[in-house]
Amino acid sequence: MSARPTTPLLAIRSLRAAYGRIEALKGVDLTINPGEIVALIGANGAGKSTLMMTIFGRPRARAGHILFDGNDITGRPTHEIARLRIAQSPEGRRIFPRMSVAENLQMGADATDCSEAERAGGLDRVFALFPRLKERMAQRGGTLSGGEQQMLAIGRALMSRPRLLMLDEPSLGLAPLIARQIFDAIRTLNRQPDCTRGNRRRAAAASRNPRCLSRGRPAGVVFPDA
Amino acid sequence: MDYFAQQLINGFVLGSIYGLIAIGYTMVYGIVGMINFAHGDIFMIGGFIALISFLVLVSFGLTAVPLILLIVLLVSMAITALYGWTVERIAYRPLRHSFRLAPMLSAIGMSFVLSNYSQIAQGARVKPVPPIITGGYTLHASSGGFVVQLSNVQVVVVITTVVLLAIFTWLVARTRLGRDMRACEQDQTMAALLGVDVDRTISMTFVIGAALAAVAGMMYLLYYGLVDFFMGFVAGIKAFTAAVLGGIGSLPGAMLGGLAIGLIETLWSAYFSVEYKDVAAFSILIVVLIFLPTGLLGRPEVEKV
Ligand SMILES: Nc1ncnc2c1ncn2[C@@H]1O[C@H](COP(=O)(O)OP(=O)(O)O)[C@@H](O)[C@H]1O
Ligand SMILES: [Mg+2]
Repeated sequence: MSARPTTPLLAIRSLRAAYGRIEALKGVDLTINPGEIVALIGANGAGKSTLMMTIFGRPRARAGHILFDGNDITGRPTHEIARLRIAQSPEGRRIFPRMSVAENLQMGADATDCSEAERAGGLDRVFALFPRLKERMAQRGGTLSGGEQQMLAIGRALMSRPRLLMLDEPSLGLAPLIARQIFDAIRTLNRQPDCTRGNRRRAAAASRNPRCLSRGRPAGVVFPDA
Repeated sequence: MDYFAQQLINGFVLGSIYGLIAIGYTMVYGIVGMINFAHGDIFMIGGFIALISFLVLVSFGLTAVPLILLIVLLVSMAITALYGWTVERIAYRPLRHSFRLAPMLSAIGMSFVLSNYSQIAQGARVKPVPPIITGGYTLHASSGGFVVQLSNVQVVVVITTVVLLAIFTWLVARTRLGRDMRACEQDQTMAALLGVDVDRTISMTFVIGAALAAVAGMMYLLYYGLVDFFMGFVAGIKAFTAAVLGGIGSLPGAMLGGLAIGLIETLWSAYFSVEYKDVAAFSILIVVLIFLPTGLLGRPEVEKV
Protein backbone atom coordinates (compact mmCIF):
# COMPACT_ATOMS: atom_id res chain seq x y z
CA MET A 1 0.00 0.00 0.00
CA SER A 2 1.16 3.51 -0.67
CA ALA A 3 2.49 5.63 2.16
CA ARG A 4 0.73 8.80 0.99
CA PRO A 5 -0.67 10.72 3.95
CA THR A 6 -4.20 10.68 2.58
CA THR A 7 -7.23 10.07 4.74
CA PRO A 8 -8.47 6.57 3.96
CA LEU A 9 -11.87 6.53 2.27
CA LEU A 10 -12.93 3.81 4.64
CA ALA A 11 -11.20 2.77 7.83
CA ILE A 12 -12.61 -0.04 9.90
CA ARG A 13 -11.11 -0.59 13.33
CA SER A 14 -11.67 -3.64 15.57
CA LEU A 15 -15.23 -3.98 14.32
CA ARG A 16 -17.52 -6.46 16.05
CA ALA A 17 -21.04 -7.34 15.08
CA ALA A 18 -23.47 -10.09 15.96
CA TYR A 19 -26.89 -11.49 15.14
CA GLY A 20 -28.34 -12.06 18.57
CA ARG A 21 -25.83 -14.36 20.20
CA ILE A 22 -24.13 -15.37 16.97
CA GLU A 23 -20.94 -13.35 16.64
CA ALA A 24 -20.35 -12.71 12.96
CA LEU A 25 -17.52 -10.16 13.10
CA LYS A 26 -14.95 -10.61 15.83
CA GLY A 27 -12.67 -7.63 15.44
CA VAL A 28 -12.20 -6.70 11.79
CA ASP A 29 -9.73 -4.12 10.54
CA LEU A 30 -9.81 -2.89 6.98
CA THR A 31 -8.56 0.21 5.24
CA ILE A 32 -9.59 1.31 1.78
CA ASN A 33 -7.97 4.30 0.14
CA PRO A 34 -9.59 6.54 -2.45
CA GLY A 35 -9.33 5.08 -5.92
CA GLU A 36 -8.58 1.62 -4.69
CA ILE A 37 -10.27 -1.59 -5.81
CA VAL A 38 -10.42 -4.09 -3.02
CA ALA A 39 -11.54 -7.67 -3.22
CA LEU A 40 -12.83 -9.18 -0.04
CA ILE A 41 -12.64 -12.94 -0.12
CA GLY A 42 -13.35 -15.67 2.35
CA ALA A 43 -15.25 -18.89 2.81
CA ASN A 44 -19.02 -19.02 3.12
CA GLY A 45 -20.04 -17.64 6.46
CA ALA A 46 -16.77 -15.80 6.93
CA GLY A 47 -18.65 -12.56 7.47
CA LYS A 48 -18.22 -10.75 4.16
CA SER A 49 -21.88 -9.82 3.75
CA THR A 50 -22.15 -8.96 7.42
CA LEU A 51 -19.18 -6.61 7.13
CA MET A 52 -20.80 -4.74 4.26
CA MET A 53 -24.11 -4.50 6.05
CA THR A 54 -22.51 -3.41 9.32
CA ILE A 55 -20.99 -0.46 7.48
CA PHE A 56 -24.63 0.55 6.97
CA GLY A 57 -25.52 -0.19 10.57
CA ARG A 58 -27.51 -3.37 9.88
CA PRO A 59 -26.64 -5.12 12.13
CA ARG A 60 -25.28 -2.42 14.39
CA ALA A 61 -21.63 -2.55 15.35
CA ARG A 62 -21.21 -3.96 18.86
CA ALA A 63 -17.74 -2.51 19.22
CA GLY A 64 -15.12 -0.82 17.10
CA HIS A 65 -15.29 2.06 14.67
CA ILE A 66 -16.16 2.76 11.08
CA LEU A 67 -14.63 5.91 9.65
CA PHE A 68 -15.73 7.21 6.27
CA ASP A 69 -13.55 9.96 4.91
CA GLY A 70 -12.19 10.45 8.42
CA ASN A 71 -15.64 10.84 10.02
CA ASP A 72 -16.92 8.32 12.49
CA ILE A 73 -20.17 6.92 11.09
CA THR A 74 -20.55 4.05 13.57
CA GLY A 75 -24.09 3.94 14.88
CA ARG A 76 -25.53 6.48 12.42
CA PRO A 77 -28.94 5.60 10.94
CA THR A 78 -28.75 3.51 7.77
CA HIS A 79 -30.40 6.07 5.51
CA GLU A 80 -27.98 8.80 6.61
CA ILE A 81 -25.03 6.56 5.78
CA ALA A 82 -26.48 5.98 2.31
CA ARG A 83 -26.70 9.75 1.85
CA LEU A 84 -22.91 9.99 2.28
CA ARG A 85 -22.73 8.29 -1.11
CA ILE A 86 -21.89 4.84 0.06
CA ALA A 87 -23.72 2.35 -2.12
CA GLN A 88 -24.18 -1.36 -2.05
CA SER A 89 -25.40 -4.00 -4.42
CA PRO A 90 -26.35 -6.36 -1.63
CA GLU A 91 -26.39 -10.08 -1.24
CA GLY A 92 -29.46 -11.46 -3.01
CA ARG A 93 -29.66 -8.30 -5.18
CA ARG A 94 -32.81 -7.05 -3.47
CA ILE A 95 -34.40 -5.54 -6.57
CA PHE A 96 -37.80 -3.97 -5.85
CA PRO A 97 -39.88 -6.63 -7.61
CA ARG A 98 -43.01 -4.55 -8.21
CA MET A 99 -41.21 -1.50 -9.53
CA SER A 100 -40.11 -1.03 -13.10
CA VAL A 101 -36.44 -1.06 -14.00
CA ALA A 102 -36.68 2.71 -14.47
CA GLU A 103 -38.08 3.16 -10.97
CA ASN A 104 -35.47 0.88 -9.44
CA LEU A 105 -32.79 3.06 -11.02
CA GLN A 106 -34.59 6.17 -9.85
CA MET A 107 -34.49 4.82 -6.28
CA GLY A 108 -30.71 4.78 -6.65
CA ALA A 109 -30.67 8.34 -7.94
CA ASP A 110 -32.90 9.44 -5.04
CA ALA A 111 -30.34 8.15 -2.55
CA THR A 112 -28.36 11.34 -2.96
CA ASP A 113 -29.66 14.70 -4.02
CA CYS A 114 -28.64 15.09 -7.60
CA SER A 115 -29.51 17.47 -10.36
CA GLU A 116 -31.48 16.42 -13.42
CA ALA A 117 -28.27 16.59 -15.47
CA GLU A 118 -26.44 14.35 -13.03
CA ARG A 119 -29.32 11.91 -13.10
CA ALA A 120 -29.27 11.78 -16.90
CA GLY A 121 -25.49 11.35 -16.81
CA GLY A 122 -25.88 8.51 -14.33
CA LEU A 123 -28.41 6.77 -16.58
CA ASP A 124 -26.07 7.10 -19.55
CA ARG A 125 -23.28 5.56 -17.54
CA VAL A 126 -25.46 2.64 -16.46
CA PHE A 127 -26.71 2.05 -20.02
CA ALA A 128 -23.14 2.17 -21.32
CA LEU A 129 -22.23 -0.63 -18.91
CA PHE A 130 -25.42 -2.63 -19.27
CA PRO A 131 -27.15 -1.86 -22.58
CA ARG A 132 -29.62 -4.62 -21.74
CA LEU A 133 -31.20 -2.48 -19.03
CA LYS A 134 -32.12 0.21 -21.51
CA GLU A 135 -34.38 -2.20 -23.39
CA ARG A 136 -36.02 -3.28 -20.17
CA MET A 137 -36.83 0.08 -18.61
CA ALA A 138 -40.59 -0.52 -18.41
CA GLN A 139 -40.36 -4.12 -17.22
CA ARG A 140 -41.02 -4.99 -13.59
CA GLY A 141 -37.91 -5.80 -11.58
CA GLY A 142 -39.33 -9.09 -10.33
CA THR A 143 -39.68 -10.45 -13.86
CA LEU A 144 -36.05 -9.90 -14.88
CA SER A 145 -33.67 -12.83 -15.21
CA GLY A 146 -31.04 -13.33 -12.52
CA GLY A 147 -28.29 -11.76 -14.59
CA GLU A 148 -30.46 -8.78 -15.48
CA GLN A 149 -31.35 -8.33 -11.82
CA GLN A 150 -27.66 -8.29 -10.96
CA MET A 151 -27.04 -5.66 -13.61
CA LEU A 152 -29.91 -3.66 -12.22
CA ALA A 153 -28.63 -3.94 -8.66
CA ILE A 154 -25.23 -2.66 -9.73
CA GLY A 155 -26.81 0.01 -11.93
CA ARG A 156 -29.04 1.16 -9.10
CA ALA A 157 -26.03 1.47 -6.80
CA LEU A 158 -24.18 3.46 -9.46
CA MET A 159 -27.08 5.89 -9.85
CA SER A 160 -26.22 7.39 -6.48
CA ARG A 161 -22.77 8.35 -7.84
CA PRO A 162 -21.13 6.48 -4.99
CA ARG A 163 -17.77 7.36 -3.55
CA LEU A 164 -17.64 3.86 -2.11
CA LEU A 165 -19.31 1.07 -4.07
CA MET A 166 -19.70 -2.35 -2.52
CA LEU A 167 -20.75 -5.33 -4.60
CA ASP A 168 -21.68 -8.45 -2.70
CA GLU A 169 -21.21 -11.61 -4.77
CA PRO A 170 -21.87 -9.91 -8.10
CA SER A 171 -21.51 -13.18 -9.99
CA LEU A 172 -23.38 -15.54 -7.70
CA GLY A 173 -25.60 -17.93 -9.58
CA LEU A 174 -24.91 -16.41 -12.97
CA ALA A 175 -23.96 -18.20 -16.14
CA PRO A 176 -20.22 -17.81 -16.87
CA LEU A 177 -20.90 -15.57 -19.84
CA ILE A 178 -23.07 -13.17 -17.83
CA ALA A 179 -20.58 -13.26 -14.96
CA ARG A 180 -17.87 -12.24 -17.38
CA GLN A 181 -20.01 -9.32 -18.57
CA ILE A 182 -20.48 -8.20 -14.99
CA PHE A 183 -16.75 -8.35 -14.23
CA ASP A 184 -15.97 -6.54 -17.48
CA ALA A 185 -18.32 -3.85 -16.28
CA ILE A 186 -16.56 -3.69 -12.92
CA ARG A 187 -13.24 -3.29 -14.69
CA THR A 188 -14.74 -0.53 -16.79
CA LEU A 189 -15.65 1.23 -13.57
CA ASN A 190 -11.99 0.95 -12.65
CA ARG A 191 -11.35 4.64 -12.50
CA GLN A 192 -14.03 5.18 -9.89
CA PRO A 193 -13.22 4.69 -6.22
CA ASP A 194 -14.71 1.29 -5.70
CA CYS A 195 -14.67 -1.56 -3.31
CA THR A 196 -15.47 -4.69 -5.17
CA ARG A 197 -15.57 -8.31 -4.39
CA GLY A 198 -17.06 -11.38 -5.84
CA ASN A 199 -16.00 -14.49 -7.61
CA ARG A 200 -12.79 -15.18 -5.82
CA ARG A 201 -10.47 -15.62 -8.72
CA ARG A 202 -11.79 -12.87 -10.90
CA ALA A 203 -12.27 -10.43 -8.06
CA ALA A 204 -8.77 -11.01 -6.81
CA ALA A 205 -7.47 -10.58 -10.32
CA ALA A 206 -9.33 -7.31 -10.73
CA SER A 207 -7.93 -6.04 -7.48
CA ARG A 208 -4.38 -5.41 -6.52
CA ASN A 209 -5.38 -5.77 -2.89
CA PRO A 210 -7.39 -8.82 -2.02
CA ARG A 211 -8.28 -8.95 1.68
CA CYS A 212 -9.24 -12.19 3.24
CA LEU A 213 -11.73 -12.75 5.97
CA SER A 214 -11.93 -15.95 7.97
CA ARG A 215 -14.62 -16.68 10.54
CA GLY A 216 -15.19 -13.06 11.35
CA ARG A 217 -11.50 -12.13 11.57
CA PRO A 218 -9.05 -10.76 9.02
CA ALA A 219 -6.83 -13.56 7.80
CA GLY A 220 -4.07 -11.61 6.14
CA VAL A 221 -3.66 -10.97 2.46
CA VAL A 222 -3.78 -14.06 0.32
CA PHE A 223 -2.72 -14.51 -3.21
CA PRO A 224 -5.32 -15.37 -5.74
CA ASP A 225 -5.17 -18.91 -7.01
CA ALA A 226 -5.86 -17.66 -10.50
CA MET B 1 -85.95 -1.45 -12.49
CA ASP B 2 -86.10 2.13 -11.28
CA TYR B 3 -85.94 0.93 -7.72
CA PHE B 4 -82.87 -1.09 -8.58
CA ALA B 5 -81.23 1.89 -10.29
CA GLN B 6 -81.84 4.00 -7.22
CA GLN B 7 -80.23 1.37 -5.01
CA LEU B 8 -77.23 1.26 -7.31
CA ILE B 9 -76.75 5.00 -6.91
CA ASN B 10 -77.09 4.80 -3.14
CA GLY B 11 -74.77 1.82 -2.93
CA PHE B 12 -72.16 3.52 -5.06
CA VAL B 13 -72.15 6.56 -2.78
CA LEU B 14 -71.88 4.48 0.38
CA GLY B 15 -69.17 2.41 -1.31
CA SER B 16 -67.12 5.54 -2.03
CA ILE B 17 -67.06 6.27 1.69
CA TYR B 18 -66.03 2.71 2.57
CA GLY B 19 -63.40 2.78 -0.14
CA LEU B 20 -61.78 5.93 1.25
CA ILE B 21 -61.50 4.28 4.66
CA ALA B 22 -60.36 0.96 3.21
CA ILE B 23 -57.35 2.62 1.57
CA GLY B 24 -55.97 3.48 5.01
CA TYR B 25 -56.20 -0.13 6.15
CA THR B 26 -54.58 -1.48 3.04
CA MET B 27 -51.76 1.08 2.94
CA VAL B 28 -50.75 0.49 6.53
CA TYR B 29 -50.99 -3.25 6.08
CA GLY B 30 -48.81 -3.03 2.99
CA ILE B 31 -46.04 -1.09 4.67
CA VAL B 32 -45.95 -2.40 8.24
CA GLY B 33 -47.91 -5.62 7.92
CA MET B 34 -50.41 -4.84 10.65
CA ILE B 35 -54.13 -4.21 10.75
CA ASN B 36 -54.60 -0.76 12.21
CA PHE B 37 -57.75 -1.42 14.21
CA ALA B 38 -57.84 2.20 15.33
CA HIS B 39 -58.37 3.35 11.74
CA GLY B 40 -62.17 3.23 11.99
CA ASP B 41 -61.94 5.53 14.98
CA ILE B 42 -59.69 7.86 13.04
CA PHE B 43 -62.54 8.06 10.52
CA MET B 44 -64.92 8.89 13.40
CA ILE B 45 -62.54 11.61 14.65
CA GLY B 46 -62.51 13.00 11.11
CA GLY B 47 -66.31 13.19 11.20
CA PHE B 48 -66.27 15.04 14.52
CA ILE B 49 -63.63 17.50 13.40
CA ALA B 50 -65.68 18.16 10.26
CA LEU B 51 -68.73 18.78 12.44
CA ILE B 52 -66.91 21.08 14.84
CA SER B 53 -65.19 23.08 12.13
CA PHE B 54 -68.51 23.38 10.30
CA LEU B 55 -70.22 24.78 13.41
CA VAL B 56 -67.33 27.16 14.06
CA LEU B 57 -67.43 28.50 10.51
CA VAL B 58 -71.19 28.98 10.65
CA SER B 59 -70.91 30.78 13.99
CA PHE B 60 -68.46 33.15 12.32
CA GLY B 61 -71.27 34.01 9.96
CA LEU B 62 -69.83 32.29 6.90
CA THR B 63 -72.61 31.40 4.46
CA ALA B 64 -70.95 30.51 1.15
CA VAL B 65 -71.47 26.74 1.09
CA PRO B 66 -68.67 25.79 -1.34
CA LEU B 67 -66.18 27.81 0.68
CA ILE B 68 -67.40 26.25 3.95
CA LEU B 69 -67.08 22.78 2.47
CA LEU B 70 -63.58 23.42 1.22
CA ILE B 71 -62.37 24.80 4.56
CA VAL B 72 -64.04 22.00 6.51
CA LEU B 73 -62.43 19.45 4.20
CA LEU B 74 -58.93 20.88 4.58
CA VAL B 75 -59.21 21.45 8.33
CA SER B 76 -60.50 17.96 9.07
CA MET B 77 -57.90 16.37 6.80
CA ALA B 78 -55.10 18.28 8.54
CA ILE B 79 -56.19 17.69 12.12
CA THR B 80 -57.15 14.06 11.57
CA ALA B 81 -53.80 13.49 9.88
CA LEU B 82 -52.18 14.76 13.06
CA TYR B 83 -54.16 12.20 15.02
CA GLY B 84 -53.01 9.44 12.67
CA TRP B 85 -49.42 10.56 12.99
CA THR B 86 -49.66 10.66 16.79
CA VAL B 87 -51.23 7.22 17.07
CA GLU B 88 -48.43 5.69 15.03
CA ARG B 89 -45.81 7.57 16.97
CA ILE B 90 -46.95 6.67 20.47
CA ALA B 91 -48.71 3.33 20.03
CA TYR B 92 -47.06 1.50 17.11
CA ARG B 93 -43.54 2.71 16.51
CA PRO B 94 -42.21 1.73 19.95
CA LEU B 95 -43.51 -1.80 19.32
CA ARG B 96 -42.27 -2.17 15.77
CA HIS B 97 -39.56 -4.67 16.64
CA SER B 98 -41.58 -6.38 19.31
CA PHE B 99 -43.43 -9.65 18.81
CA ARG B 100 -45.94 -9.75 15.98
CA LEU B 101 -49.14 -9.43 17.97
CA ALA B 102 -47.97 -6.49 20.06
CA PRO B 103 -48.85 -3.71 17.59
CA MET B 104 -52.21 -5.34 16.93
CA LEU B 105 -53.08 -5.38 20.61
CA SER B 106 -51.89 -1.81 20.86
CA ALA B 107 -54.13 -0.92 17.90
CA ILE B 108 -57.19 -2.43 19.56
CA GLY B 109 -56.31 -0.43 22.67
CA MET B 110 -55.96 2.77 20.62
CA SER B 111 -59.37 2.11 19.11
CA PHE B 112 -60.94 2.12 22.58
CA VAL B 113 -58.91 5.14 23.63
CA LEU B 114 -60.10 7.19 20.66
CA SER B 115 -63.77 6.25 20.91
CA ASN B 116 -63.90 6.72 24.69
CA TYR B 117 -62.09 10.01 24.33
CA SER B 118 -64.72 11.21 21.88
CA GLN B 119 -67.47 9.95 24.12
CA ILE B 120 -66.10 11.92 27.06
CA ALA B 121 -65.18 15.02 25.10
CA GLN B 122 -68.29 15.16 22.90
CA GLY B 123 -70.88 13.16 24.78
CA ALA B 124 -72.47 9.87 23.94
CA ARG B 125 -75.46 11.23 22.07
CA VAL B 126 -75.75 11.29 18.31
CA LYS B 127 -74.76 14.70 16.95
CA PRO B 128 -77.01 15.80 14.10
CA VAL B 129 -76.40 18.70 11.73
CA PRO B 130 -78.99 20.39 9.55
CA PRO B 131 -78.62 19.43 5.88
CA ILE B 132 -75.77 21.45 4.46
CA ILE B 133 -76.23 20.50 0.83
CA THR B 134 -79.80 20.29 -0.34
CA GLY B 135 -81.62 19.62 -3.57
CA GLY B 136 -80.89 17.19 -6.34
CA TYR B 137 -81.92 15.90 -9.72
CA THR B 138 -84.67 13.61 -10.80
CA LEU B 139 -83.11 11.23 -13.27
CA HIS B 140 -86.15 9.25 -14.23
CA ALA B 141 -89.78 9.20 -13.21
CA SER B 142 -91.70 6.07 -14.05
CA SER B 143 -95.41 5.82 -14.58
CA GLY B 144 -95.67 3.82 -11.38
CA GLY B 145 -94.70 6.89 -9.40
CA PHE B 146 -91.23 5.83 -8.37
CA VAL B 147 -88.54 8.40 -9.14
CA VAL B 148 -84.83 7.81 -9.46
CA GLN B 149 -83.07 10.64 -7.70
CA LEU B 150 -79.53 11.82 -7.52
CA SER B 151 -79.14 14.26 -4.66
CA ASN B 152 -76.57 17.03 -4.64
CA VAL B 153 -74.98 15.48 -1.56
CA GLN B 154 -74.43 12.29 -3.51
CA VAL B 155 -72.85 14.24 -6.33
CA VAL B 156 -70.55 16.01 -3.88
CA VAL B 157 -69.55 12.75 -2.20
CA VAL B 158 -68.72 11.02 -5.45
CA ILE B 159 -66.89 13.96 -7.00
CA THR B 160 -64.86 14.58 -3.87
CA THR B 161 -63.94 10.91 -3.70
CA VAL B 162 -62.93 10.75 -7.34
CA VAL B 163 -60.80 13.91 -7.12
CA LEU B 164 -59.04 12.78 -3.95
CA LEU B 165 -58.43 9.33 -5.35
CA ALA B 166 -56.92 10.85 -8.47
CA ILE B 167 -54.56 12.98 -6.36
CA PHE B 168 -53.73 10.01 -4.17
CA THR B 169 -53.05 7.72 -7.13
CA TRP B 170 -50.78 10.31 -8.66
CA LEU B 171 -48.95 10.70 -5.36
CA VAL B 172 -48.31 6.97 -5.00
CA ALA B 173 -47.41 6.37 -8.64
CA ARG B 174 -45.46 9.48 -9.55
CA THR B 175 -43.93 11.26 -6.60
CA ARG B 176 -40.80 10.61 -4.61
CA LEU B 177 -42.84 10.03 -1.47
CA GLY B 178 -45.03 7.49 -3.25
CA ARG B 179 -41.99 5.67 -4.60
CA ASP B 180 -40.43 5.62 -1.14
CA MET B 181 -43.67 4.21 0.27
CA ARG B 182 -43.72 1.45 -2.31
CA ALA B 183 -40.03 0.75 -1.71
CA CYS B 184 -40.62 0.39 2.02
CA GLU B 185 -43.56 -1.87 1.32
CA GLN B 186 -41.40 -4.15 -0.83
CA ASP B 187 -38.09 -4.18 1.08
CA GLN B 188 -37.50 -1.88 4.02
CA THR B 189 -33.85 -2.76 4.44
CA MET B 190 -33.08 -2.06 0.80
CA ALA B 191 -35.02 1.18 0.96
CA ALA B 192 -32.87 2.26 3.91
CA LEU B 193 -29.71 1.28 2.01
CA LEU B 194 -30.89 3.71 -0.67
CA GLY B 195 -31.26 6.60 1.74
CA VAL B 196 -34.98 6.30 2.47
CA ASP B 197 -35.90 7.32 6.01
CA VAL B 198 -38.15 4.34 6.72
CA ASP B 199 -39.64 5.71 9.95
CA ARG B 200 -40.58 8.96 8.29
CA THR B 201 -42.10 7.14 5.32
CA ILE B 202 -44.20 4.98 7.63
CA SER B 203 -45.36 8.11 9.46
CA MET B 204 -46.40 9.64 6.16
CA THR B 205 -48.38 6.52 5.33
CA PHE B 206 -50.41 6.95 8.51
CA VAL B 207 -50.82 10.65 7.81
CA ILE B 208 -52.16 10.06 4.30
CA GLY B 209 -54.42 7.20 5.41
CA ALA B 210 -55.84 9.37 8.20
CA ALA B 211 -56.40 12.30 5.84
CA LEU B 212 -58.41 10.08 3.49
CA ALA B 213 -60.37 8.70 6.45
CA ALA B 214 -61.14 12.31 7.42
CA VAL B 215 -62.57 12.88 3.96
CA ALA B 216 -64.72 9.80 4.47
CA GLY B 217 -65.78 11.12 7.90
CA MET B 218 -66.83 14.43 6.41
CA MET B 219 -68.70 12.71 3.57
CA TYR B 220 -70.48 10.57 6.13
CA LEU B 221 -71.49 13.69 8.03
CA LEU B 222 -72.80 15.35 4.87
CA TYR B 223 -74.60 12.25 3.68
CA TYR B 224 -76.22 11.06 6.90
CA GLY B 225 -76.27 14.40 8.71
CA LEU B 226 -74.94 12.99 11.96
CA VAL B 227 -71.91 11.65 13.75
CA ASP B 228 -71.47 9.72 16.96
CA PHE B 229 -68.57 8.32 18.93
CA PHE B 230 -69.43 4.74 17.99
CA MET B 231 -69.64 5.14 14.21
CA GLY B 232 -65.98 4.24 13.70
CA PHE B 233 -66.51 0.70 14.89
CA VAL B 234 -69.02 -0.65 12.38
CA ALA B 235 -67.83 1.50 9.47
CA GLY B 236 -64.26 0.52 10.30
CA ILE B 237 -64.97 -3.19 10.21
CA LYS B 238 -66.86 -2.83 6.95
CA ALA B 239 -64.02 -0.88 5.38
CA PHE B 240 -61.62 -3.51 6.65
CA THR B 241 -63.85 -6.13 5.01
CA ALA B 242 -63.66 -4.06 1.83
CA ALA B 243 -59.86 -4.04 2.01
CA VAL B 244 -59.77 -7.82 2.48
CA LEU B 245 -62.30 -8.37 -0.29
CA GLY B 246 -60.27 -6.21 -2.69
CA GLY B 247 -57.04 -7.92 -1.64
CA ILE B 248 -55.28 -6.47 1.37
CA GLY B 249 -52.27 -4.43 0.30
CA SER B 250 -53.82 -3.48 -3.05
CA LEU B 251 -54.89 0.14 -3.43
CA PRO B 252 -57.26 -0.30 -6.40
CA GLY B 253 -58.53 -3.38 -4.55
CA ALA B 254 -59.47 -1.28 -1.53
CA MET B 255 -61.58 1.04 -3.66
CA LEU B 256 -63.15 -1.81 -5.58
CA GLY B 257 -63.85 -3.67 -2.33
CA GLY B 258 -65.38 -0.52 -0.85
CA LEU B 259 -67.74 -0.15 -3.80
CA ALA B 260 -68.65 -3.84 -3.61
CA ILE B 261 -69.44 -3.68 0.11
CA GLY B 262 -71.45 -0.48 -0.34
CA LEU B 263 -73.49 -2.02 -3.15
CA ILE B 264 -74.04 -5.33 -1.38
CA GLU B 265 -75.11 -3.65 1.82
CA THR B 266 -77.51 -1.32 0.04
CA LEU B 267 -79.04 -3.99 -2.15
CA TRP B 268 -79.37 -6.32 0.80
CA SER B 269 -81.20 -3.65 2.79
CA ALA B 270 -83.42 -2.87 -0.17
CA TYR B 271 -84.44 -6.42 -1.04
CA PHE B 272 -84.01 -8.45 2.15
CA SER B 273 -83.80 -6.80 5.49
CA VAL B 274 -82.32 -3.64 6.87
CA GLU B 275 -81.80 -5.24 10.28
CA TYR B 276 -79.41 -7.80 8.87
CA LYS B 277 -77.38 -5.53 6.59
CA ASP B 278 -74.30 -5.74 8.79
CA VAL B 279 -74.57 -9.52 8.82
CA ALA B 280 -74.38 -9.45 5.02
CA ALA B 281 -71.11 -7.54 5.06
CA PHE B 282 -69.53 -9.78 7.64
CA SER B 283 -70.71 -12.97 5.96
CA ILE B 284 -68.85 -11.77 2.91
CA LEU B 285 -65.71 -11.28 4.99
CA ILE B 286 -65.89 -14.88 6.14
CA VAL B 287 -66.65 -16.26 2.69
CA VAL B 288 -63.80 -14.29 1.16
CA LEU B 289 -61.36 -15.41 3.82
CA ILE B 290 -62.29 -19.01 3.14
CA PHE B 291 -62.53 -19.12 -0.63
CA LEU B 292 -60.49 -16.15 -1.84
CA PRO B 293 -57.90 -15.37 0.82
CA THR B 294 -55.93 -13.03 -1.44
CA GLY B 295 -59.02 -11.04 -2.42
CA LEU B 296 -60.13 -9.81 -5.82
CA LEU B 297 -56.95 -7.95 -6.76
CA GLY B 298 -54.54 -9.30 -4.18
CA ARG B 299 -51.37 -11.00 -5.25
CA PRO B 300 -50.40 -14.43 -4.04
CA GLU B 301 -47.80 -14.42 -1.28
CA VAL B 302 -45.19 -16.22 -3.33
CA GLU B 303 -43.28 -13.93 -5.61
CA LYS B 304 -40.28 -14.51 -7.81
CA VAL B 305 -37.56 -12.28 -6.45
N1 LIG C 1 -29.59 -12.73 9.46
C1 LIG C 1 -28.74 -13.55 10.14
N2 LIG C 1 -29.09 -14.07 11.33
C2 LIG C 1 -28.26 -14.87 12.02
N3 LIG C 1 -27.04 -15.20 11.61
C3 LIG C 1 -26.60 -14.71 10.44
C4 LIG C 1 -27.43 -13.86 9.65
N4 LIG C 1 -26.74 -13.51 8.54
C5 LIG C 1 -25.55 -14.13 8.65
N5 LIG C 1 -25.45 -14.85 9.78
C6 LIG C 1 -24.30 -15.62 10.24
O1 LIG C 1 -23.19 -14.75 10.31
C7 LIG C 1 -22.02 -15.37 9.80
C8 LIG C 1 -21.47 -14.56 8.66
O2 LIG C 1 -22.35 -14.65 7.54
P1 LIG C 1 -22.19 -13.79 6.22
O3 LIG C 1 -21.78 -12.42 6.59
O4 LIG C 1 -23.40 -13.93 5.42
O5 LIG C 1 -20.96 -14.53 5.53
P2 LIG C 1 -20.47 -14.47 4.03
O6 LIG C 1 -21.16 -13.33 3.33
O7 LIG C 1 -18.99 -14.27 4.15
O8 LIG C 1 -20.80 -15.78 3.41
C9 LIG C 1 -22.43 -16.78 9.42
O9 LIG C 1 -22.09 -17.62 10.47
C10 LIG C 1 -23.92 -16.70 9.25
O10 LIG C 1 -24.52 -17.92 9.58
MG1 LIG D 1 -22.46 -13.40 1.78
